[in-house]
Amino acid sequence: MGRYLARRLLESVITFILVTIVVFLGIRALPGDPARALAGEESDPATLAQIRTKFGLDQPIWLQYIKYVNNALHGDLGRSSRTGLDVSTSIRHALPVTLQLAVFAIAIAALIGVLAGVVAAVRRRTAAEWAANGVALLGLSVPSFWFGLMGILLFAVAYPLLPASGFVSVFDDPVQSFRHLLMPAIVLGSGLAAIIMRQTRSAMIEAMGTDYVRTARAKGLGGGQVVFGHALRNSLIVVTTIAGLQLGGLISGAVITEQIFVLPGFGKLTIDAVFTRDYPMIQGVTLVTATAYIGINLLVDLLYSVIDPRVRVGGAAL
Amino acid sequence: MSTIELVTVDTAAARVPVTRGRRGWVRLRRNPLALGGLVVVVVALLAAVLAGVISPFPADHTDFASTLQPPSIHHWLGTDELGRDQLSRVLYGLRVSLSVAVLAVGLSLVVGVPLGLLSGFYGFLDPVVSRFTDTLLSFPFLVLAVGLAAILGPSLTTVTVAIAIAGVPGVIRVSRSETLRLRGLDFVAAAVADGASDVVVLGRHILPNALNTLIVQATVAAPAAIIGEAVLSFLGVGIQPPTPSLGVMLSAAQPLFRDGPWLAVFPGVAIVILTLGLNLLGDGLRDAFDPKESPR
Amino acid sequence: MPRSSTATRRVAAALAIGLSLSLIISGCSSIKSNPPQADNNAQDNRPVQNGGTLRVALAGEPDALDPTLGRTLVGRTVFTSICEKLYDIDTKLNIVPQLASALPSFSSDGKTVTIKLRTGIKFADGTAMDAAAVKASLDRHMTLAGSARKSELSSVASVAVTDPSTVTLTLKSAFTPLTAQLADRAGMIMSPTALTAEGDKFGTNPVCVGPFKFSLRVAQDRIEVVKDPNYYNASKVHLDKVIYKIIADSTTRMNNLQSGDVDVYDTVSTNDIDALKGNSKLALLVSDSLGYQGITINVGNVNGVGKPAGTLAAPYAGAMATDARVRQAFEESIDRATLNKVVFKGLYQPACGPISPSSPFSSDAAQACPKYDPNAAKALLQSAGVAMPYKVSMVIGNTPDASRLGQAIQSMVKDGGFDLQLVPTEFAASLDLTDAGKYQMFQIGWSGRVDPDGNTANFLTSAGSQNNAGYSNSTMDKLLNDARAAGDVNTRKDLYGQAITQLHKDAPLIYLYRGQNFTGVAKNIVGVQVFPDGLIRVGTAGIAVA
Repeated sequence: MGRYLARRLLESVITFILVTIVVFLGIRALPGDPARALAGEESDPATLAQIRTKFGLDQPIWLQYIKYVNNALHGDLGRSSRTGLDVSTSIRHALPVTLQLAVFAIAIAALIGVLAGVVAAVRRRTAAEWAANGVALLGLSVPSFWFGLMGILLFAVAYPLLPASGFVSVFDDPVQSFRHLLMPAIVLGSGLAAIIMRQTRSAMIEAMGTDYVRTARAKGLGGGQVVFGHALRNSLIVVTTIAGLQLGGLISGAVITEQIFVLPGFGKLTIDAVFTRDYPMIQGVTLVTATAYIGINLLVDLLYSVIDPRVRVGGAAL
Repeated sequence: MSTIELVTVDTAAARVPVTRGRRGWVRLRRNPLALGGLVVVVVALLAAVLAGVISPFPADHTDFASTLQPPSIHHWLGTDELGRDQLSRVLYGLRVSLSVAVLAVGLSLVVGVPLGLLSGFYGFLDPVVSRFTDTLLSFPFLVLAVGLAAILGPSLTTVTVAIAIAGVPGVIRVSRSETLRLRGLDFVAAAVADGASDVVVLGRHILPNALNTLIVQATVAAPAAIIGEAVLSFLGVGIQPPTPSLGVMLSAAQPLFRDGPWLAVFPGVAIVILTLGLNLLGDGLRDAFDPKESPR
Repeated sequence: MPRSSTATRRVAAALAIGLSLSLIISGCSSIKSNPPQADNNAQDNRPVQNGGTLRVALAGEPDALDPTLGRTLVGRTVFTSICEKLYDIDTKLNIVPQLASALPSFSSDGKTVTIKLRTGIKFADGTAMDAAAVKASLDRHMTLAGSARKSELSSVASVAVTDPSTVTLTLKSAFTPLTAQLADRAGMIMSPTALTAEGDKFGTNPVCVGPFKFSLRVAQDRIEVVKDPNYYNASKVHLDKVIYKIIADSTTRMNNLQSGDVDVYDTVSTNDIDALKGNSKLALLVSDSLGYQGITINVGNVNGVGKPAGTLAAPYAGAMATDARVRQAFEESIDRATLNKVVFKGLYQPACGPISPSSPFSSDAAQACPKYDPNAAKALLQSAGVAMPYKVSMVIGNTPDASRLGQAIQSMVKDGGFDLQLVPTEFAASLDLTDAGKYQMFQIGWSGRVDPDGNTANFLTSAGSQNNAGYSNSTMDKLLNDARAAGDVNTRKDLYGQAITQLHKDAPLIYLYRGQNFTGVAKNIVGVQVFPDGLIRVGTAGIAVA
């Protein structure tokens, strides 16, 4: 276990360094003079030269990299080249929004997915199973942004039940928060719900076919007790693993969801930064995303290895 | 003993274990949903290929006198803000979306399969390829795609490359795990013992038998590619107007929803039907060829 | 897994169709097109509550809220609440004093400008405003590293404090548009206490004179300003707070206005005008615009914008760059009236020159328009010896409006013998490209300035700071330089008329249309004003008593 942990840790660190290098070089590959991108509507050569010196854009690349990493380790991610505001402050304001959205989305996805999966597994070859499968298929086939747009037009404009956009924190006003996040969370969680539903269904079916369960039923233990006891435990494992593995998909989904519903979250921050060539911001958000992704994967792997010792021995088809 | 087995393997290129493959196709034929999906996909492919022939109008033919017409006899799906026939544009849009899907998935297979095979076969390569995969996965798809579009400029090529890159980790993972699984089987050990070179083992024995799983992976990746292109074009970093792609049409339809709601509906429905078909087909293929995945 | 294929498919299809149908039914409306009359000044005498919060949906995110560094139009809108200027404009585009007490007086040679200031004014932090504070701000505008105001104040040699309420500017050469410059960011006065404390971080916590003062800003989300008790006219300010929400997508802004989540919709898209007018809870404010949208043609930009023009090399060289007849042909292939009708529902105005018809400097010559005649265009191309269809490319923006415009133009110029390739490019990247001269044609607009010099000189004089066409013509240079030195309105009017006539001959810029400033406001809001500069002014706005 210790050896496994050490190995995974080393791998994570290497991946992290690779990611930071890719980001650093990548945004230097963006076309156009970054100083010019800061200039906007009007500019003159003298101004551009001053901007270049101010942001250190005239130094050799490796020097810029070292300086940046050093600052980052001290919590200073620079200032947005567009608004002048602190990158770390902006990220700190944006993260809770995305986190609340993601948690809500995972909760909805888990609720719908597990319920539908259990129904489909238990009520096989009935209309309920068809309905559940159909809904799962739709969740995978409908582009989330279209889904979101239709939702806004139906529930905010045509019949004003929910707000068209905006964010309210659950810590400020739970009711308004729920209203503002309901549609975005459903949109973000729809794909995830479909995946969870299918995995739950197949896990349930597999479990119900095992000797252990069949024996219990033969012995007269209630079907419901067995099913739900088993279902709950299996589902929890399934949901956690999937949520961890689908994190990349969730972040991508958050980007487009936040764009459509105008939630000032991390995804929107990222996209707007790329669109406006805000180099300090792009570096900051990618760093945070990579850290989160690598960290969570590490966690999931460790959890998995505790549950399933085969994984630790290595080489298993992960 | 080894000679006999080699002969058996050589003559049955993609069927080891022999029975598994054949039974798979039979199973597929018996699955009406998967067949339905297959029909949808084939129809879509035909429509896309024949778009030039069956479209009533060229995709960029404007008619300023009949802008924003609802569906009618002259224009079955209506016209847009520049008077272009929507039916024709949806057909051409299908062609664009399908081309991107095919090219992107193909590209990710071309890049990912060799990497997966090699990392599964040569243990020392494994950590290198794994780090590469992990690095790729650390970038959320949209961030990667938007960044790529910023560097290369938005175009069909950029979208294809971005989606291909996003699909590579999955392909590597699948081909690697298949390589590991097949490597341990007797027929491969026999081939190695018989002196076959690494290339031959990988190319003649392992790859053909991994084909089924890879095909399934492709049908899973294809709908994601189609939706990916739609999202990117919707954000403005994918295919650029006036080329009709389903995503571009949805993006242009959004501000015009009040005046022309049909403009947002039909491209969206086209995407849904196409991805539904691909998903059903993929499900069917997976059920038929991957018995451990099937609930039976 | 025996499942009926039809059952599941039916469920899925039914859901999709049902959703779509309900939306079609709710979304039907007919298209009308009547250009709305400019109607910004209807007297609204409804009684107003004291207090309340106004929510404005801004069309984009401002850059730094620092008058010296700011470059965005939306930034100027926020500044109207928190940073007053020496001068301002009124609804008729006349310049009126704001922090100054009277219009500036120019010496007879035009090189000395005296500005008298109002007395008894305090900044939001309580510091008193005096001539020293004004000098400090003007000096900062002229000298700070990265200042965007340098070119605006380039004619000023020095600023002197004559007495506590008078400043005197010494100019390098006569420059009549100076007053107009001081009616914009270059004339915004910042608190010297805050400048000393924050330095170049002033934009993160700006302090000036205004009905409101800066309260907080969350990146990508909103800017909040609160009532300033130190304001000299605080008794006329009704609102407690204004929240500027940043919503870049016009459809979302509209949705928010309709659902009641915001009160003001900045920069209404032409697609939303009919719905706005049809909604009894909403009102539409209209004002003429000072700006324009057009096409810039690269005729000599090899060395970069602001540098002397030269001869183009491949792939941008060609008949379009060297032969004015080709450019005229392109202009004659565009039917501006139809463009306006199809792309903007007839709500905008076709434009053929840089000066707005509502400007006091407009004239018949300034409004002259080349005719639409695709056959004449083809003839011109033939006489220029160009093979048809002539292939040209145009960089355009990637917003929905720009996209529609580009495709409409592309379709039109086919009849004139052109094969137009569109190059949709993101805004910042497009500025990079075109400044460096890496383009053939560029669809771009200008937000417009009160003084016609602001719409012409920098774009059309040789080595002008915004002349990315690389256009150089000594006749044009003389006309425009004379116009900016002349003091008399009629002289200037005539000179600009001649300049525009020359412009149509050389056609380095083709003007297409002039927008109108449309703003959506909830009916229960009183006193929101939008002048032709497009800025939303909420200083004396308030919520009507129910």
